[in-house]
Amino acid sequence: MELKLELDPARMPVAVAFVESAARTAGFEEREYALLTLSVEELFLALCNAMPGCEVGLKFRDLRYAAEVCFHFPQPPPDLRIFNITTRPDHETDEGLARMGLFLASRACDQFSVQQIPQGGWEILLRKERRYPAAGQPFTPPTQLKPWSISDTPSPDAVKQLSGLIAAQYAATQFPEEFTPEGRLLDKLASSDYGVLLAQTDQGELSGGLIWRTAERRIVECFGPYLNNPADSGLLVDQLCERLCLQFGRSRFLGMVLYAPQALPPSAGFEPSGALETPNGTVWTGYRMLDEEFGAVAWLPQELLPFYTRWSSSMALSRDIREYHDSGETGDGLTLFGSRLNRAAGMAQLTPLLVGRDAGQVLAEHLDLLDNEGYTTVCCTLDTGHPFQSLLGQHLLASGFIPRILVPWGGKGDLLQLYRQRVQQ
Amino acid sequence: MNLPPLDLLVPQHVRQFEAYVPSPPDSELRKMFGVERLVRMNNNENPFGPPPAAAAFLKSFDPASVARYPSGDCQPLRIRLSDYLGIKVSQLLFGNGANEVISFVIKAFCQQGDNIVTADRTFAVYEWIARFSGVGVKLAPLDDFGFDDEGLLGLVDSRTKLVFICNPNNPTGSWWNRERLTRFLDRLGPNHIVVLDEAYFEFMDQPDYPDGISLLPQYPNLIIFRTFSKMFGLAGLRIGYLAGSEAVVDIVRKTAIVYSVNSIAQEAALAALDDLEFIRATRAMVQEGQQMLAEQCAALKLPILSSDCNFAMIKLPFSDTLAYRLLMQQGFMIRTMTGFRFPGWIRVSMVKRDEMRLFCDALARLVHSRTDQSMLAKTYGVSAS
Ligand SMILES: Cc1ncc(COP(=O)(O)O)c(C=O)c1O
Repeated sequence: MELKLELDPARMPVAVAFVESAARTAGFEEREYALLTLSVEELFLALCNAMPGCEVGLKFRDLRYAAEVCFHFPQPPPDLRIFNITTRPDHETDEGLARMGLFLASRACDQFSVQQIPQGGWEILLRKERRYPAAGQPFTPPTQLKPWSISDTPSPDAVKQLSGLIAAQYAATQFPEEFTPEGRLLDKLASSDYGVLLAQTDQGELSGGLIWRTAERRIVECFGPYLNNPADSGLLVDQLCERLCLQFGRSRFLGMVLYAPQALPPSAGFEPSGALETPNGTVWTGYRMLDEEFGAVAWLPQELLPFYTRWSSSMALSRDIREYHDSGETGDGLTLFGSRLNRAAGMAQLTPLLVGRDAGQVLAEHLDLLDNEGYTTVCCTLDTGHPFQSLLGQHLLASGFIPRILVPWGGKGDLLQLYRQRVQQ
Repeated sequence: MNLPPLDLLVPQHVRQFEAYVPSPPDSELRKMFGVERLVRMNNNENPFGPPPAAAAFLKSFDPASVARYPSGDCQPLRIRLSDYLGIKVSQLLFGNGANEVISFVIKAFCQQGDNIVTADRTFAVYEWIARFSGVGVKLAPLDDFGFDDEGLLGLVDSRTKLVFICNPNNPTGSWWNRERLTRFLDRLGPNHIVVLDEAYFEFMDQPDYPDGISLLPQYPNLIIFRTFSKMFGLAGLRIGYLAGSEAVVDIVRKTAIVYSVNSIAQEAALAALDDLEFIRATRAMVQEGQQMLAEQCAALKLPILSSDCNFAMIKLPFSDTLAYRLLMQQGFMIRTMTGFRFPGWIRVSMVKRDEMRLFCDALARLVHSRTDQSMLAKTYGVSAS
């Protein structure tokens, strides 16, 4: 659903009514969408302030597991630093109060992002997730595991079993929080952005499974295989991985990255691309290019050259590696991080959306906040397709981040995942 | 800048289609992969180049003549070829490569709601053109690497206009003999057009491999594709053709683009046509290459699909796209098969002896380096427990 409006405070109720009615039609409860409409209200007013009279496009998307509102407007957005989770507006000044709205908008939704889009203009995306009850039946491991067959359209009951298996047998750091509880996983799978491959015996008992998700990007993110009996499932791992390749072999995707809770055998067809060890369990990353690749330019800060060179040569990526030199340019202006928090795992994910000269300070503020709130593992990504993100590299390394994983074509270019891990006090 | 409303202007089936990205020029690839020489083994081209008569024509070509339009319907070439094939001139239609001819046929017979039927793992262009034209695509899985007659027949319905059979099949090299093909045509009946893609016809040296053109009198619903890109080494000039019954070709001619085959291509094809010695030499090179490759694969314990065609398919114990990059770094450009729905397989085109020898060595190095199990823990850099 789409709506075009003039940026005039008088039109704000129209925007709010649009989102409210779309969310209600999509079956969201009031307590779920109330915060989203609040965000829309505040963001609309902030944009009216910044670019009065311009036209804004509003799009609502029902993702089942979440409601998404996208604002499309012609000019660069106003100062977006307020969207950083660390920012606290100043109540004392007029300017601070004027930004209060944006502050509320960003905190009321679960996820947001800002980007300049190739077709022209800018986009801010707000997403509010649906709430789900905790899992019903506890997971009981089946006794008979073989022989299995693989399905990409399993019954809801089998998906619930998979969600149960993941929660029961794997550490919270080894799977995305969104795979539990089972209702949330089912809703995710019902959207076209997620899919599952399940191996079941003739009796319908679960041997293992894999979950994938796609986004606008060029790679498919896959998680698993989650296995009932990790000890003797080499063949199952190979078969699940091969099914993934068949599924995405002829598609718009350039590659697949697999976050696996066990090391992947070479026969699975995934190339090692790094690993993250946590006290509770390791995540092994495998990468599978789906297409012939013709090489690319990669921008990196000098400090990260050893890691990048080692991995890109082990994966035989042909890269014209260019070291980024800071020439004092303004870059993106001010620094803005998108953040995703996985409280159960104590993990936080920071994605640099804009990188400016204040990067070091903004990063430090984020880390302070996350430390205080007990997050022990923080991940931050760097995109080799954005020269200016290199500026962030030195700050990440100075704050204790270590590069661990390389995902070719994971962003505009290759994505480096750096992690900062603290031992819990 | 105000963009047109692309959401409204572009049909759904075009919006959903992902454009094919051809590989960059060799000079760029050489630079990117850091090699001085690149042996092309990815497109099933003829490493000998065009036959000597065609090469001589190209050398003597008078540039002034390109100011004139070519023959709009390849008349002189069709006259000569009809004589050679023993059919009427009006039974032949040329295009800018067999690829363009596929497009003519789909345009001529299909509208939205119609479908085509073919195999899931065959030359991809039938499927692509159908999809971006808004035509349905029904795919029958291959049976033991070959086209499955039962599977294809099971998919045909009242909206099926075209059934594409690639004979021999690119990439598996499998083929139907005359008996199997006619049995299929008989069972399908006359209500659908069957396209028999014989792009590799001239390589086939088996007594019961069927010449589709000889079946035309009996099966007027048959269309045969041939090309000058493979055996005749004219891939860069883009010229291919179809043959069919007069009534069918008259229909396809309506959707054909006149003047789309340039005059150099037409003349070179004329010169290339009946050089039997060239065909013999190419077949010998292919046979020798297939043998060298089969021996190397046996030594490395790699499954291989060999045939009379100028390509073979090899199964690797690791990712085919990784193999592509590693072989590129050694100066060999092969085709990955993940996009053909054969993950872990590569397709290799035959080249001359010396280059094939070097390729076999490179393949052995690659397989040895990547199947060393201890590498896994080493590359991850963390303990494997
Ligand atoms: C089976 C098959 N048909 C058609 C073609 C296209 O040939 P052309 O170069 O004439 O477009 C090819 C080329 O690879 C092919 O393999």
